[in-house]
Amino acid sequence: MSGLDVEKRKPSELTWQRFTGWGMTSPTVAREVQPTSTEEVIDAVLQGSRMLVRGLGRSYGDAAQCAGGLLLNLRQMTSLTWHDDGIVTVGAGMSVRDLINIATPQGWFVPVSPGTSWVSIGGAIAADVHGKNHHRDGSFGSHVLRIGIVDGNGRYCEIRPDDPRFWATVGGMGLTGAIVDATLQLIPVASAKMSVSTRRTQDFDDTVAQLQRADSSRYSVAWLDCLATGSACGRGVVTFGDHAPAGARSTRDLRMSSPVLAEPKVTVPRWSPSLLLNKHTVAMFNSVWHKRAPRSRDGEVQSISEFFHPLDAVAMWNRAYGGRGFVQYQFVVPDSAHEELRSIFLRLVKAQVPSFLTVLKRFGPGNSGFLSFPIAGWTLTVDIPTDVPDLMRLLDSMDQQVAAAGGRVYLAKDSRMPAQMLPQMYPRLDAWLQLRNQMDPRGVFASDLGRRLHLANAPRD
Amino acid sequence: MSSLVIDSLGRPQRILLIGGTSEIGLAIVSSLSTATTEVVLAGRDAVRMAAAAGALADCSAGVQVFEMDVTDSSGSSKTLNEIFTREVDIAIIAAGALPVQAAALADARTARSALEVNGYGAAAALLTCHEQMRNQGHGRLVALSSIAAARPRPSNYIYGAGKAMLDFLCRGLVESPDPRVQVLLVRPGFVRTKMTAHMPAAPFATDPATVAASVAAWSNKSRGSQIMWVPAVLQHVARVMSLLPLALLRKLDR
Repeated sequence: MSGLDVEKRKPSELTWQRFTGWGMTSPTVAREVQPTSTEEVIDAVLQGSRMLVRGLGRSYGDAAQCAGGLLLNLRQMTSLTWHDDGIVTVGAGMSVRDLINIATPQGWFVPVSPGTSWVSIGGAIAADVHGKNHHRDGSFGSHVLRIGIVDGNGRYCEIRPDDPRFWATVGGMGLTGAIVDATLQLIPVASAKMSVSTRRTQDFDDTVAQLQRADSSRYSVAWLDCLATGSACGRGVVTFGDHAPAGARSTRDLRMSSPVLAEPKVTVPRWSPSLLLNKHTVAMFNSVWHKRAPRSRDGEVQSISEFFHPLDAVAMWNRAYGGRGFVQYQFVVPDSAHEELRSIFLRLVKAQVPSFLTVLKRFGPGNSGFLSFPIAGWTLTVDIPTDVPDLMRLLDSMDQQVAAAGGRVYLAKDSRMPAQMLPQMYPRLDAWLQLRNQMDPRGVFASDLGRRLHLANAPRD
Repeated sequence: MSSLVIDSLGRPQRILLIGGTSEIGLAIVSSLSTATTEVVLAGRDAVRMAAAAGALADCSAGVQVFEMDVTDSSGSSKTLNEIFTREVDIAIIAAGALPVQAAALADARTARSALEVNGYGAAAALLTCHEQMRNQGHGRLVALSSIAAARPRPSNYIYGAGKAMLDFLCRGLVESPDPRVQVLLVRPGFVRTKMTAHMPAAPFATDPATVAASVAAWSNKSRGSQIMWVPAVLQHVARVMSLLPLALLRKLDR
């Protein structure tokens, strides 16, 4: 078959399927096709129906949904070409996981790894994902040398960092076109292990201070217990580290295993009861997690999976929230907004939201991405089941606080922010809209997130 | 053109009420609307809709009013097309009129008018909204039927005949669902409103706020297309009614 004519495909491939984000909220239906080449992507775009590329579906909200439209699944576009000095060109459908498994035995590692390895390269660029090394190395887009993209006119373009279209696409949530391949600069590593330090912290100030102290390490992150109150409020576990030197071996696994990343150990069943994660069970988990962390330990050797992607050990962990689904709220505020950070955290503690994944991180300066999320400062992430009472009002009010502090909410996590907050949080929105209209004048690329936040609108006067 | 979808906390961005002065319809709009929701009222009486818009101002991000008569086929189709140039997350079909049965029997024009509003007009609006929502790729449709559509009763079978047309059509949409559009067919019993103020309340009478709460619960949980009786017990009452001998039904309906 020379082209991707959806009308000529088998009816089974044209049925409406239900899609949600990782938070399992706001389902909408779309048809899914799996192009195998850039030419097939171009054919699909030229047909002109509303469409979007969906990667591995790890964005929490509605960023990878396209109600009533066509979803391009690029899982078959996973080619890989090595160039010199750790430069690779990969198909956008390749996962960060596969790239780590291929590159690490050859002494190279992805420059930025988010909290899950189940992220496609195209998705990593579109959401400009960050990892535990943002304060030192920036986000994913900062390590991309070239993007191959099919724009809204059905033209394949190669865009580089000196082209504004590149920075409209990095963090552009897939709305500037279909990213089909990219060239990345990997980083050299001497082993497939991590050398990790851990500090158990007593309260919020202690956590913040320890995390600031860890700025000199390549990777750092803090987990917080958001249900502990009183003198333990804001207690947590700070971990930081770097790739271990050659010859380092895990104390638990002496063999250099291949593939590098471990397979999930368990899978949460499809019909997991909603009550599994409630205030009491999460408080118990948080307490145990805090107590089992060493007070202070340096030089522990961990696997890449343990350090970067601990939750990948539990496949489909999102189901643990049950059918109600959950919202992941992630915001960043500038360094100077330390008190706002504390105030927002205290509001979450007061609301007693049962989050077992509350994470605080330091960000370094942002890049040139028009809608890229990171700015220098603090980023806090919290998971909240959608049935927490008065959640809408709490999060709307936190949006206001974040925006007033000069911060913003991460679009790859968002599923509920009111559209009017966007221009204040992303001051370069209008310039992005101009570029998007230039790259996709017919508005072929659309997502539920884009529709909800009016990212498909013409620029305001 | 901006486009809108419902968010993860069930918050719609744009709601349309056809039958813009319907008490039940307005109660549903109030229960679904938030400070960021735009409301569109479409109906015959501009003055009463303006008053309703004023009452909704505090719980919405703004109210648009369109004069529209569902019995005017081409006019209402044109108006609905204009409304749907911006997407609608939830549309409520509440257009209807309760004729006095004796008057409708005495005057064929009155009967015809009731049939046109409750039946053909509401059904056509339902189909137009369904088509628009299929095109936009998502949407929720709420149609207000009535227990009167369940079985002809001497006191209201002209009203019931109109509602039965809407009910039957909507049941078709529920039972042969298009996955892009979720349809809720609401069958309330006797609802205490201005429209029924002159009548004695029937058993299991309810009020607009209760109907609205049931619709909001459906919308927030996005349970898919379904038929809903309000109160729920009416499902069983209707089943019994359909089995009652005619003579007994006549006695009960006096």
